[in-house]
This record gives sequence, C-alpha cells and structure tokens, in this order.
Amino acid sequence: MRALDWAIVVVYLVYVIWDGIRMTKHSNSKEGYFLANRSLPWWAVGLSVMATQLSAITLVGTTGQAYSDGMRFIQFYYGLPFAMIILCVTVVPFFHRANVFTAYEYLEKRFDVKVRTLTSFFFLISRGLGVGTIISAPSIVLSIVFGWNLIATIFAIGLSTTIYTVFGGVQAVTWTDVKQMVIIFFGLGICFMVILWSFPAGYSLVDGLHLAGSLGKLNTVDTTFDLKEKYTIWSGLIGGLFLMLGYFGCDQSQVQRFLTAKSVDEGRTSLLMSAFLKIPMQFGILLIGVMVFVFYQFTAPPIVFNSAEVDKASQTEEFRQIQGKYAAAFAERRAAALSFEKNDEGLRRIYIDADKKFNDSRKEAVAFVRSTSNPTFNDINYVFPTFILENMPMGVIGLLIAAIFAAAMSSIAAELNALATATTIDFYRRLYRPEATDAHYVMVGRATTFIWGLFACVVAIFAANLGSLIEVVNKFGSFFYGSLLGVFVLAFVVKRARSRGAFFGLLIGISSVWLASIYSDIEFLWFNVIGCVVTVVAGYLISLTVRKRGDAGGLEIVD
Amino acid sequence: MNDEHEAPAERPKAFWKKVYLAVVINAFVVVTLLWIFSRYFR
Repeated sequence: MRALDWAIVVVYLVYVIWDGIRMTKHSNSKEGYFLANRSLPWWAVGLSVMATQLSAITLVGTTGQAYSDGMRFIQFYYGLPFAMIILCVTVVPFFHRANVFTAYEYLEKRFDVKVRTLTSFFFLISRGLGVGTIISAPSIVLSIVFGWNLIATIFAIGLSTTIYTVFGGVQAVTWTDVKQMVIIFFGLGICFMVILWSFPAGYSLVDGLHLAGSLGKLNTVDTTFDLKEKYTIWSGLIGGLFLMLGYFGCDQSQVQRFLTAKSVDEGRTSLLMSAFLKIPMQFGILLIGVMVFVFYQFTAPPIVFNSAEVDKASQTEEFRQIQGKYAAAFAERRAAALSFEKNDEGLRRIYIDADKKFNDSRKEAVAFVRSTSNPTFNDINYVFPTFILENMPMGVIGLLIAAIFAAAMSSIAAELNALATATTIDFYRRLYRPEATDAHYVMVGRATTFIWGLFACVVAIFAANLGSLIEVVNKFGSFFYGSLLGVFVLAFVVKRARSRGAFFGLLIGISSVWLASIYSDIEFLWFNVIGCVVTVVAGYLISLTVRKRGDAGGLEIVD
Repeated sequence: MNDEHEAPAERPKAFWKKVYLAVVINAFVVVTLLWIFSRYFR
C-alpha cells in the first residue's frame, strides 16, 4: 500500500466517525436516539436496510465463494422479494401502528413479559455472536494487508464503529449507511472495470463468461430437490423465504430500520427497495468473484491465498514439491484457457481437464496446510483481499479497503444500535427502571452500545478461524430465526395461541434445530423452516392445554 | 410504549396490490433472466 491508499482509508475513517458523531445533537431523547423520531425518508431507510445486510462478509466471503464455487450462492436470495411483500402486508403496518421500540415489545401485549424477554434474549445472543463474525471479516483483510496483529485489528475496527454509534444513535447509523453504500458501489464498480482492463489483449468480458460458464461457475438456478444440497432454487425460495421473514421481520437490527421511517408507506417502500435491488446487486458482487477467477486464468494465483500459512508451509520439502506441480498445472491451464473456443468441444474438454488438474494440485496444497499447521484452515475469505493487494493499482487499493471498511461498519453499527435498544427497552426499562427520564435511557443506551461493542470484539477473535464467515453468520441466524418467526406467526395468525404455548414452543423450536444440526445432514437454510414449523405446531398444541375463559380469540386467558 | 404520534395518510390498498404484483413479476423476470444467462454461458 502506498501513501495515496493510506490517505484514502484515513480520510474515509475520519469522515465517517465525524459524520456519525455530529448526529449527537439529534439524539438527546430516547425517541431520537433509538428511532430517529420516526422521521427518515424511505430512500435513506432503504439504503440502510441494504447496508445493514451487506456486510464486509458479503464482499469478502461472497466474492471468494464465487471464485471457488461459482454463482450458486445467489439462489440464497430468491425468497427475499416474496418475504418483503409478506412483511409489507403484515409486520410493517402492525409495528408502526403499535408505536413500539422493539419487535419483542409487541409480544408482551399479545402474550406476556416472559415471551417478550425470552425472544429478546435469544435475539441478543444470536446477534451478539453474529456481529462478532461481522467484525472478523474486515479484520482478516487488514491483518493480511498491513501485517497487523489480528486481535489488535479486531479492536481497532470494532471500537471505531462503536464510537460513532455510541454518540449518534440510530441517526448516525442510518446516515452513515447511506454514504457507505455510495462508497461500496463506487469501489466495486471501479474494481470491476480494473479487472476487465487487466485481461489479456483482445480478451473480453464475454470470453471470460464463456470460460467460467464451461466449468459451471455461472449456474444460478439448480432445480435439484435435495435437503443436503446447500444452494438450490428450493432452499432459496423456501428456506430463504423463512430466513428473510425471520431476519427482516423479527430481528431488531432490521425492524429498527423501518421503524425509523416517517410513515407506514415509507417503511414499506424502504423494504421493497431491497425486493427490487438485492438480487441484481448480489449478482454484481458474485460476478466480480467470477471475474477474479477469470483473471487468475492468465496470472498465476497464490497456491494458498493466506500468505501466513504459505510462509509456514513453504519451509518443508514436501510443500515445495507441491508448489512445483502447481506451477506446471497452472501453465497447462493458462495455455488451455488462451486457446479455449466456446464452440470447439475438443478445446473445451482440454480446458476442463486442465482446470481439474490445477484444482487437484491446489487441494493438495490446502490439505497439506490443514495437516501440518491449521486443521480448520479455509482459503475462501482470503481470495478477494489478496487479489486486491497484489493486483489493484495505487489508489484503487485504498478505495476498496475503504469499501470493505464501509460494508463492515454499516452492519456493525446497525447491530450494535439494535442490541443496545433491545437491552435498554426490553430489559433495563421493562424489568429494572420503568420510570426514568429520556436522558437516563439515552445514557443507558450509550453505555450498552459500548458494552456490546466490546463483547462483539471478543467474539470476533474466536470467529476468525471458523471457516467461511458468511456461512458462519447465516448458521448462527438459522439456529434462531425460524423459531423467532414461529413465535410471531403464533402471535399474528393463531388466535388460540397462549403465552405458555409461545414460550415453550420457542424453546422446543430452537431445540429441534439444534438436534437437526447434530443428527442430520440437512443444510442450514432448511433450519429456518424446521424451527418455524416446530415452534408453531408445538406452541399451538401446548396452547390447547391452557384453560381459557370466554372467546377463543380474546386475550382473556388463564395462563 | 412511547408517546403517540400522528400517522400520515396511507396510500390505498389497491395501490399496494399493484406494487406487490410488480415485485412478484420482477422477481420471476430476474430469476428467468439469470437462468437464461446460466444456460447461454454454460
């Protein structure tokens, strides 16, 4: 990294912290600090919704996944537009009219304080862990780029975000999200253009797509119905639908976004922005990963993208032999790629065989690293940052590092703000100090934001070695989202549902997901369906055991 | 519960039904285009 790159990163960091802190003046009441006085326009809320979901993991992990596994991951988002419609019809108007601060606040009105507290507690656990993994991804990037200590890096990025979130509250989160999205799109656009310019003379985007397509890396629709297959159109449409309903409808970090909108209509429009833009945007990010793959057909990629592991392994004679085989396999594949003709079946076959030989030598290297130094080693998250560092020109490196920072900080800030809101409103205000001044609750909100920031940094240290980070975050979510969604289905749809049913239904739902993860090979997107269905069924059956007075649909119950 | 605030007038349901229909059509078109994309470059 040169001085210009450093300057871009430093200017970005200073600006975003200043921009967040200057929102302090709008955040002196609890309505202002936690909900921006319900005054924000739909486009700002919509961008904030997208920025919250688009973390640095999306940039680093997704591009890495596209490089190694192709575009199959996009099917994960196929259920999102349908989830948004369901939420616009149900949750958005309901929460707005109920004037709540948190999604879980409603559950006390419908059931009782135990259900509210339990759901909010599970939200705190799952997102507290989730935000830790969100901090890990950019920290890994920085530790590679600068050679910094990973733990110090985690605290640097986690605490800088915590500072402006502590002071500016949800106003700071939303308005910095808007600017961060601009930086992310600009950085990715420049990156995409630079990759295309780096192709050999006469080689076009279409040529690259044919090359990647011949290896099945552009497969975006897999119609196989197999619960053990991670990304298919069915897991995306059904499992993804349940996950998105749970994430956007029951997760405070997203519910809080549309609660800040000026009106029900503006809240709906902000969610529908994602319904229209999310899949194309994700396609663009995955396409960058595929273009990185095409780029590395002509420029030798590192045998292992994590340079620290290579340094350790390259001390051995066996690894040097693997490197020799790898270099020969790359030369063969490069020649096959250059002579590739999409309509010549023979040349296609030669290229596919050369790519297989190349992948085998790379797998051998990865297996060697796993067997000698790091059994949990996973290369996916290192692909994009290493590519940026080694191949992007001066200035673009700094811009892309700033974009990764922006993606990370936008998600971290929203999560911290939501965690602080749930802690303050659902626990502190409800159970400890129900009658206090606005200034007191804002002070508690700031303190809890800071504490959650510290907690997330500690989790991030452990999450750094847990494999593909994007899957880790989604797995964390999938353990809880389906069951949380089940509780809200009981609340909204099942008139006979009672608090005892909701409370134990949630516990049984989460237990069922936990058991499914241990005793079956079912992929994690389906956990959302299992959790929701089990919670609703168990909650309903348990509710039938509760003696009722009067009308079945009324709230007058003995429980 | 926080203080009540006056909610602005909402657009009619008929408007939102058309918007939701547009979202569904858009989703099918996008997935179909992606499928065509995959088939073309396979």
